[in-house]
Amino acid sequence: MCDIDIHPDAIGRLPGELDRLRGRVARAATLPAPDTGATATATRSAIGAITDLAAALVSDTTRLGDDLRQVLRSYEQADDNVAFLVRSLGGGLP
Amino acid sequence: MIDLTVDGSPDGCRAAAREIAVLAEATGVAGGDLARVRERAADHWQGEAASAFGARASEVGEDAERLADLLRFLTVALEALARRLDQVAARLADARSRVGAAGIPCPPGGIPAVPDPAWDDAQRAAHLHAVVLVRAARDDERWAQEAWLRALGSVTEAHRRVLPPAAPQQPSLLDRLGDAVSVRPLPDLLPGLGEVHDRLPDLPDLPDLDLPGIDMPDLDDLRVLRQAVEAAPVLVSAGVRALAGRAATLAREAGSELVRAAPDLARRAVDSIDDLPTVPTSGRALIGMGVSEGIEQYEDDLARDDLTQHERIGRAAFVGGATVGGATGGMALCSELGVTSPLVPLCGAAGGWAGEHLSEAVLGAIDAR
Repeated sequence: MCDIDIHPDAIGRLPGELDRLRGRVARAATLPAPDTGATATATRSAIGAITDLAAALVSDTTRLGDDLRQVLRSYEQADDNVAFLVRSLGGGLP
Repeated sequence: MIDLTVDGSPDGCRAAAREIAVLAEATGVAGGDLARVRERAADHWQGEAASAFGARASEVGEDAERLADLLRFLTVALEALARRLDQVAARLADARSRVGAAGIPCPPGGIPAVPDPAWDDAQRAAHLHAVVLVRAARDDERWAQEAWLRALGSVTEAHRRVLPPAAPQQPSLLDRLGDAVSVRPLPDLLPGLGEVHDRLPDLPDLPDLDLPGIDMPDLDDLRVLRQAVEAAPVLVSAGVRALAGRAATLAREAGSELVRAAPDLARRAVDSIDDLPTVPTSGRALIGMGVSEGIEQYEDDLARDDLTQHERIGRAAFVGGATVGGATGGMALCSELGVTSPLVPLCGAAGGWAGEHLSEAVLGAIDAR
């Protein structure tokens, strides 16, 4: 099946939704490292690890949105090409 | 004195737990949203790219759900730690108040470690009771910290699973190449073609040719051809150093011996990059072209009566070595920079070209002298 089998109106809304969920995670991803006493160093390290994991999620979501936008751009370009061909053929028809 | 201080901030732990809970909520919602995005994409988009997107969205969504679960678990664990630290502090305060109530003077933040002989029985009993309470409180504190450490272990495990540590850095291809041809560590050899050109008139005769130490070029971008050309002096140096020791031997041999020795030199150069999987056979063939350049130089010099046979052989070995070094180093440099295999021979050509022309310029400078 061709990758161009796509409904751009429906798919076109998805990157925005991905941006919003990414923004929610990114805004919540700044965490304080609490003083837990004897384990304070390990806690700081773990908070850093959690921040890394949240950043990875944000990055993955960004990539998904970018991929979708790229697909939509490719579709629009292909659509332009098809429109051009139709116009050209139409002009040549009696 | 028995210290009654409790390390850690229960209030800080609760505040952090609230923020972790907010992140847990956000990632949990993200997991659900990603699942809906995947379903709607599947409804309105078909094909291989759609399948790939759906698979990736599913993976990211599952990662988000796992992260949300981990964060919820940590929230509970951190709140539990705060609660236990509060309980420890309360027990220690109780111990101190019992000692104080018995009329025993206490230093700030603690209680006496051993009974005073002047105390009466009631004071001794109160102190003993307090010591037992402190020991129990410290046991609770230790247990609370161990429980928290176990919870942190799940974070470490998740981090390792999702973001595995980078593999230990392997010796660079350039380093290995440098070892193969017995050159000095490369950074102090790396180059600026123009600077070497500027210094050509001052360069000593072969085989004592040495090149100035120049800082490593900026490798942040991938303008590889320029860098390959810039690397040429290193490669010339490599060629010179590899051949300098052999030049004297070659010079004692007949011209026909050069023809036999040149392929051997090329083979040695090729062997030095045999373990570079990104250098294709066509790239190695470029190294052979360096041998051709050396032979061509020898044939050109045959027409010159002012050169001895030894000098012709030395000059040919220099040009051939510089070209071999240029091509080899150009390819290694491009491989190091992540250039894809089809372009590596082009880097070899650029490095070989630069090595050849620089060596000819060196010979020209020597001739002019």
